[in-house]
Amino acid sequence: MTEKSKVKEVKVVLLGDTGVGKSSLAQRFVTNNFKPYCETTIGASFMSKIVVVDGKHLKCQIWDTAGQEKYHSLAPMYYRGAAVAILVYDMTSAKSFEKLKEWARELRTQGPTEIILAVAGNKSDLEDRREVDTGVAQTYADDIGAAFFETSAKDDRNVSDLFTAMAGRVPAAASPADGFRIDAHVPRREQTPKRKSCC
Amino acid sequence: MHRKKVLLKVIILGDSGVGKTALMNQYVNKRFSSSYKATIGADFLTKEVMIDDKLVTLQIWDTAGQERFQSLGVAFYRGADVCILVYDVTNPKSFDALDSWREEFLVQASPADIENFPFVVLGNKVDRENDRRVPKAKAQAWCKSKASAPLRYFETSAKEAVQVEAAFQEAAQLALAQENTEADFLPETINLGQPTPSHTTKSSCC
Amino acid sequence: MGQRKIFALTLAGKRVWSSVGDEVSESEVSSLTGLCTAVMGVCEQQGETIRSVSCGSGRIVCARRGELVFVAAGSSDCEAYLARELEYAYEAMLMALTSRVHKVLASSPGYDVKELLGSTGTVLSSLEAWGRTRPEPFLGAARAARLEASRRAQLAHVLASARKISGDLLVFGVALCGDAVLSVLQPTPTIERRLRSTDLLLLANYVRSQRAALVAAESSWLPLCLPRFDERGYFHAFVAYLDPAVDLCLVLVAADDKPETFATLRNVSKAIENALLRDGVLDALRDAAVEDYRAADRIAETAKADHFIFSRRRPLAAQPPKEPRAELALAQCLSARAVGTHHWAHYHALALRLRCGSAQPQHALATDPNTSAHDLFEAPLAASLVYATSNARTYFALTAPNFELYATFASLAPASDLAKRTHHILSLIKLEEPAFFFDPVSY
Repeated sequence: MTEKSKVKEVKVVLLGDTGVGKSSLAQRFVTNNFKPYCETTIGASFMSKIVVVDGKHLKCQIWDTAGQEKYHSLAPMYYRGAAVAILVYDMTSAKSFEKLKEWARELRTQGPTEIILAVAGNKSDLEDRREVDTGVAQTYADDIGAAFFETSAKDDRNVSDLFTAMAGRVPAAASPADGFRIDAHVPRREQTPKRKSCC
Repeated sequence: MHRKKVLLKVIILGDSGVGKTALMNQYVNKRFSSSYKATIGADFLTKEVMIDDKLVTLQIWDTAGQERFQSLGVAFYRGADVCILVYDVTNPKSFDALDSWREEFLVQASPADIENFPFVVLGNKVDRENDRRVPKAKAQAWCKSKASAPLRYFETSAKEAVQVEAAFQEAAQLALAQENTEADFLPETINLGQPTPSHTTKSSCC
Repeated sequence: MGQRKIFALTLAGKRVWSSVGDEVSESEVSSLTGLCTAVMGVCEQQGETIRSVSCGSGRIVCARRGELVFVAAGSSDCEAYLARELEYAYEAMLMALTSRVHKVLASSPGYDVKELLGSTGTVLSSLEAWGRTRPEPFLGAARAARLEASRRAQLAHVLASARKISGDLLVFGVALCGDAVLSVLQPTPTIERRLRSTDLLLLANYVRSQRAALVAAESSWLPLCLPRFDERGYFHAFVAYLDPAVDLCLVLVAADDKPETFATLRNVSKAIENALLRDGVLDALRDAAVEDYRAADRIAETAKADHFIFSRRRPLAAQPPKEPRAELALAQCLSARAVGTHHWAHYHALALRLRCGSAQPQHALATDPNTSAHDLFEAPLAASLVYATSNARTYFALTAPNFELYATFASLAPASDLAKRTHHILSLIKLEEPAFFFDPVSY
């Protein structure tokens, strides 16, 4: 393997209640787009983007998970391999903040011990509908040892800061070895005309 | 994001003449839908309410033909979110019947959690306080005896709109709380090794 | 009664999904759902099952499936047609929720399945919209994308190799071009367990309904059930759009949800993409995407037909000894672009006549040695044929063991002429059969 292809990878998982804007944050970060109406995620989707932190290239591999309860049992597979978990709530919904606390508890008991946490209060553009105080969220984030950001995927506030800062925090030692690689070489098919493929 | 609108199914039970329909009309007022009670023994009204910032639609089922103590059948009770039991404070017989109404409901609806299924008990016609023959304390004692947490009890007057709104609001609240605690749907991953439902033998190609 | 409406309710009368959308409030549909509960309740008490209600020109069709009830209300639509729509709606729901939905409802009948369905409700909505204009649901067949035979063989080979490098994790592999299927990798079908064409068309619909989210992501990992294959559990599908511009999409289906499986499938997907790029197959696939309906349109034009839809139940040229069992083959369809929707009602009526067995062959086409379907497709059994005329158009249906053909001709053609034109369509299709249809890669 050549040196130049060795970009450090950082696995980031987004967790939080349905509708808080996890997909919007990921999309704002990766493609710098925002869609006002976004279907709720089914299962999980995967995105990646290369960021530069302190002159080093880091490849952020982002798992955007479904917030719906029915997919909850799938969540461990996403956070177990992650170096960073971004817990997202909607600052116009106190309920989503409660849900975030459940996620934090679950991560503490079942997540990887070295996982780096961030708390993100999204939809900061909707200040007039705020239900979760900055102070309260900040204190909670401090308590669980998480970084805290208030973001707006819509107005592009703090989004790239959030991801870049978190990626930068991943210690070099925790750099995930990519250990999983399949030989991409598919034997080329000879120019045979169609033949029955069964057995 | 706001949660999707929720439909809650409310069943009103109690002896004939205790004022079930009047209570319902008082609560829903004017939004009376067609009535086919005469033919099939049941009727429902619909009302939208806000509960904890959540827009909820109550589908309130009223029953009739109770003199014959006719069972309405599983179909009407199935999936009920809350049951309102009504008696007439001036009629001790209607109070005594609460036990069998409750029983009837639990048998027919067979809710997942019988212990904690929400009931709201209404002593109606308190506008006729002078004719009262069921003391409030007696009703409250009954409510206490039925579950670990006493059943919610309201004394109402459909005629003078006393406590009607509060009673239905409470019923809706209980129903909603009940909904949130219901079992999660846990998806299962397919097991290719397990036999197909119809057949167990496998034949192979070629 | 206007456009038809479809509702999915729980037995408690709670709406799970409706074709009118979620914007319509619960209180607006509460009268209808309550009425359904009441009517079905009364019938149930008498030990009866209600299947349909007629009122004037309107018709309401009900179907109970376990703990769910599906209700369709329409005007001119025939009962069989509405019933089929309901069956699809049910299967699309299983695709999103598995049959576990029945267990959940059986233990708590008041469960709000609507919330459970969440955004997978769009799967049903998309299917419902599809059903009104597209041939796939009507024919119960997946639409095949046209691709040159040599390219198809390459693609098949790539998929077979993908299975190998996946360490047998890959259970199904489907290459889609929009909602048309380019190729399929599947376990060798058996009578007990096999991928059905309806599962395949539902899968294409599922992917299509989630297009926006899927395109936005680099790749996605979706739990989904193939109800006819096994309604009891989820598969997990890796989905990646290789080229969103032409809706070229790869669906790699595994039977477990382990992170390593996703990682493997991602690498497999990359390997597939590289292989396709290397041999220029990707370009051919892109062309196929652009081509879409054109080849079928050309056939319609050549045969002077307004429109036609064709479904192949199994390879047309198969000889009896080596012919795969019809029920093991994947039905695939081909369609000219629909102009307007007037064909459908007529096709439905013809299909009903054919399927009810009431159809008497109206013409000797099926047995005429010069123009016969036997001659064309070596089908061992006689074909059934019906036609009808209306508004100066002739609508025509032909079913044979290997295929079904529905066509519209813009004139009141004499029967012999009709025979010639139909023959023409069939021979043109047969000429390009290897390009029009795929043979699934079975392992």
